[in-house]
Amino acid sequence: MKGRLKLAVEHLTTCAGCENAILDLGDSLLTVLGDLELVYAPILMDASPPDRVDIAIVTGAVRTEEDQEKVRNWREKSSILIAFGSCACFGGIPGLANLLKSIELLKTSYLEQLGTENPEGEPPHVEVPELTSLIKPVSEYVKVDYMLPGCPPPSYLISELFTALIKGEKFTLPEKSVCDDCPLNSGDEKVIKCIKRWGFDKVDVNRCFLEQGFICLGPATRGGCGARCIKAGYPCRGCMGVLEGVEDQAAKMISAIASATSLDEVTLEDLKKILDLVGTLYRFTFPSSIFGRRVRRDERE
Amino acid sequence: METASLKRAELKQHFEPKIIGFLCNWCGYAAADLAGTMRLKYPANIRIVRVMCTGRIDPTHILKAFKIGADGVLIVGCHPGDCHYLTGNYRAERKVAMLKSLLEDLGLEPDRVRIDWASAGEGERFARIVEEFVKRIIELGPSPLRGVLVER
Repeated sequence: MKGRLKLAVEHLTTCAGCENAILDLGDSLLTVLGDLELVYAPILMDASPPDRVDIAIVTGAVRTEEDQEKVRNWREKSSILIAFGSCACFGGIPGLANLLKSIELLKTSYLEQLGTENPEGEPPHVEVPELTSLIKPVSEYVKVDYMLPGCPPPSYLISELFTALIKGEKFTLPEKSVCDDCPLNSGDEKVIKCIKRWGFDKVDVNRCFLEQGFICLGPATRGGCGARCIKAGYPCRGCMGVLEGVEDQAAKMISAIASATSLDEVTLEDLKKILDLVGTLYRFTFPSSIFGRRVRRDERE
Repeated sequence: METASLKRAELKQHFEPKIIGFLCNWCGYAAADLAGTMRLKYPANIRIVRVMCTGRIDPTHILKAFKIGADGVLIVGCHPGDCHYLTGNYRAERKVAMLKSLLEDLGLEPDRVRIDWASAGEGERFARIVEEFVKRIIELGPSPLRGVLVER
């Protein structure tokens, strides 16, 4: 017995939900902590960063130069680096900021936002780490040993990951789609007969959302979450990211919608009722998609 | 920096679009074949990929074509109602329609993708479609993604 494995949890640009998910393990966290020693986790406790750890968990997207440095730093200091949560794995919700340039982002949040009062008329100049031009997943900067997506990652997968790490075994993610776990999936062929909008049309929470015409990302999303959103009466938003071997979640979802719509009852015009395709189909995976950002005319100039 | 902008100016001047054509085995490809047999002339900018059915084309293929530097993607299948597999071309039409709105949100002109139909006997129609499409792409200019997105 070499003693307990040292674990560090570092946060980048994140909401701290991933750390909460770790705490949420409850009793099994106590069991795990018998073999894992939490030495650094700024969101959970006060400690100075150690020189060397066995396992480093990073949560959040890489948004600032500080984040870049943190990621590189922890890669050097750790034997196993884990991208934890959708932001670290794919860029996550903050990744939608790749639709705008960083200067536009600053303008929006400091000048143009409704209710913003800024008499100086320009973003504040405080010395803080610069924004990177684009949000990128952690794996764009350093080698990542394991990925655990989810917003936040499901607790039983966190337990499995920790157990595997303690035993020195390999950890693999489930390879089926959310639909495979979904209690509303009867296994029959699904036909979409109309396109509806969430919040505007009446919902039956006991019937497949897609079949009713609401966009549910289940077919194009990795399972393993136990279809928790659907069980709570809300369509899948795609937080577990792409399925094994798939590169682009939106492309796959477009394929799924095109193949499942009824040719007689849904027209091409109806499909235009699906608004904000980037925000809906790439909600968690925009930075790791094929384009990864908005294309600009002046791209190379 | 100087060479990059020079290169871009040069690219604009002698712009030869790179176009990926996905043609279905039964109609689009047969039409292209016929256009060849008929010795019809059409721009040589198109690089043809034969697929069994336009319904087989996944939006991923189109996005990837743009990522590696295509200026346009042309899809030619059977006329509506004539699909060898009954509804493949309708499915393709839907995918392309949705992909176009996605491309618009992503900042790329939706006109860079076109889906059209040509039966096995319409060599001339095929040649005309390619001609029109190449003309449109020349109007739009080189894709802003040319040589920018690096292969992951």
